[in-house]
Amino acid sequence: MRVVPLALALTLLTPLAALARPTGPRGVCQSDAGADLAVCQGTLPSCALCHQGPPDLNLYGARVFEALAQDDGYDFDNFEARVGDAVAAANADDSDGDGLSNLEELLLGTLPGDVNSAFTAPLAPSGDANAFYAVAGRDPRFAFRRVHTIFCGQPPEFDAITAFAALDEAEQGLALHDTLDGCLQSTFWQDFALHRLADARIRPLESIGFDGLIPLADYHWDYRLFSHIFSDDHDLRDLLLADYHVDESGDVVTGIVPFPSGAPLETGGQPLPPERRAGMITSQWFLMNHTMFSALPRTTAAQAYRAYLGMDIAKGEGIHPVDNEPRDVDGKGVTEAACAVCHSTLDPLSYAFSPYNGIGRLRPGSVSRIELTGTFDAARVPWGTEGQLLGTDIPDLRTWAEHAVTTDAFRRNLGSMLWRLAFARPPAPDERTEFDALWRGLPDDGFSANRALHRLIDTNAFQVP
Amino acid sequence: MRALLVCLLVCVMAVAVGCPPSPSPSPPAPLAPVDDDGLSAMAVSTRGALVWKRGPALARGLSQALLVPVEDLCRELGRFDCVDFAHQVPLGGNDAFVKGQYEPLLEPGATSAVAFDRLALSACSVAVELDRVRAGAFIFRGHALTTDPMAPDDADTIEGARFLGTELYRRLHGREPREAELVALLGLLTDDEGRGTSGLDFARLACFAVASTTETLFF
Repeated sequence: MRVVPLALALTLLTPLAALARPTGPRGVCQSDAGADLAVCQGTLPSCALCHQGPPDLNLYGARVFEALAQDDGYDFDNFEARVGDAVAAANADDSDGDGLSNLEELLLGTLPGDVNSAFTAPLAPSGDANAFYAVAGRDPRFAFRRVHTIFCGQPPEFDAITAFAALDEAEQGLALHDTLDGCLQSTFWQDFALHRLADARIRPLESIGFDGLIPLADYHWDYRLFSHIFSDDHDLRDLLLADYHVDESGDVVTGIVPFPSGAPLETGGQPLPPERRAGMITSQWFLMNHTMFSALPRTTAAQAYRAYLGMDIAKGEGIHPVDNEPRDVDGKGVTEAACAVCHSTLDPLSYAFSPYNGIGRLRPGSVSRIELTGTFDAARVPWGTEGQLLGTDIPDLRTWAEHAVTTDAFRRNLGSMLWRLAFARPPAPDERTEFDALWRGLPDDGFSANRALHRLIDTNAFQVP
Repeated sequence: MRALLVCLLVCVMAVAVGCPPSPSPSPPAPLAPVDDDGLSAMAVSTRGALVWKRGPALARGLSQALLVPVEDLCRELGRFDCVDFAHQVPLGGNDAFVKGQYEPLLEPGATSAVAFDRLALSACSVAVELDRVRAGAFIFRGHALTTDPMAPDDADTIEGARFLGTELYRRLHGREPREAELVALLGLLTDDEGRGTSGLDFARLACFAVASTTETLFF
């Protein structure tokens, strides 16, 4: 047992806010120690890596803190620069006692401070040959059933399976991809499976949608745009870059879409001019539903970050603080230490959203001019040009989107979405290599979901029973 | 109600203090051992990474296999669709629009198996009924659907049951049945008291037995 100096022990036993350092995740990933860590591949470690709940440290966080305290070059102000070395110093230990070293857990993507977060690689199958599945290797028939069931929404029929089984290996490979092509054109895929993937990103609510009593915006535009972008080799970057919408007949429309005649309220179209659009995050529904009456649309920015960059600030994910933030531009008290941990990232993310109206025109205490819902007004607030996203200055929302789509976080999140479409679960630690290859290969696919899915069905994760 | 509670209490106490139980029927004879076709010696997957077939795909699969329109597969009280409404969440679906549930369950929940059984039993019952009223059966062919009771030892009955079992495995699982699976289905020709079941009951139970396996639910 390592002897912990008295002063350090007292510090560890005292839950100090100072122990929650929002620069920690970035510091880990920017260090030499962080290069290969699973938690740094297109994302940032969440607070849960080191904390039970900030500021309280978990067993691993305490070990890293101990290493920091033993680092003669460490002072409180150079935490970000030194935390990587502290992580490296803790690598050989097994802080949570689950049988895996801290380094092994960081490489696998499990939590080294949580004994319930661990992974054991499956043993090789043993026994007589399995008459039904190729359990020790890739099984095209198993994959054929999966393609049908996942992408067409129903399993293959007996005759189709029999015919597939009669093909040779090369023919089976072709048939598998032909089947996928057919399924990706199906209404099940385009109007159901993709819509369910979109739910958490659009976050519809019938009561204030166009099917409800108070129709403040029409989320059907959002669903159509989402499905369009995921279909027919369209560019997935349009999730944040599209300056167009898709109408009920499936046609792309580019100009301002007026609210429909006969609408109960003066809403339901797409009021932004194309040059102010940024795909899914500037639809009237998105802005109305998340910004509502906020001067600084933190909820809107947090949802954009969560939905399209895969990091949920409310869960301590994607913390990437900006110096001298939060400034608390709207007087909400977010400079309090407990708030600033997240708001030093969130507020700079939010500034670019603030020239966009939520419900009607921004007017504290009342709703006015409902027809301005989701419109752009450069004079709405004075801080709209002062944002930052993952270390880059962001003068407007279009720049926010253009920078976002260049990041690994965006690509990794696309990979997560595609993976979820296929497996309805996150990748397991032993599938991480194939998962990383999936999202890193998206540029070679021309950011086409369909091409990426063709690669996905060739993975061991998909084909090995 | 009070008398019922007293009775219940007495019973619980009797069990607790170890009183001899009242006479009960002798236990059913154990089933004859069934050859497992070497299944227990086969190598099995150790990955444990199967995909849960969610409600919509489950329903479409049952619909395709049993020739029952999706909307007729299962309705609680004759009104509420089992897959899209009544048992939506346990079957792995989600209702974003009204309930604001934007993500489905990651894994089956405590009531998922019950909801699955409910759906499978209803789908099979509807399918049997549709075949019963048709001029010619589409699914439950080769089997005396309207016979009551059937003669379990009759060669034609057994042949018809095996034919139906094969048809069900092909339709519901896309494969031929193992011999042990067919033998297990033949056990449904007889009820608990050794009498022949009706043709309709056999069809429903055989369909349910085949449809409600984990093979239907995970892939």
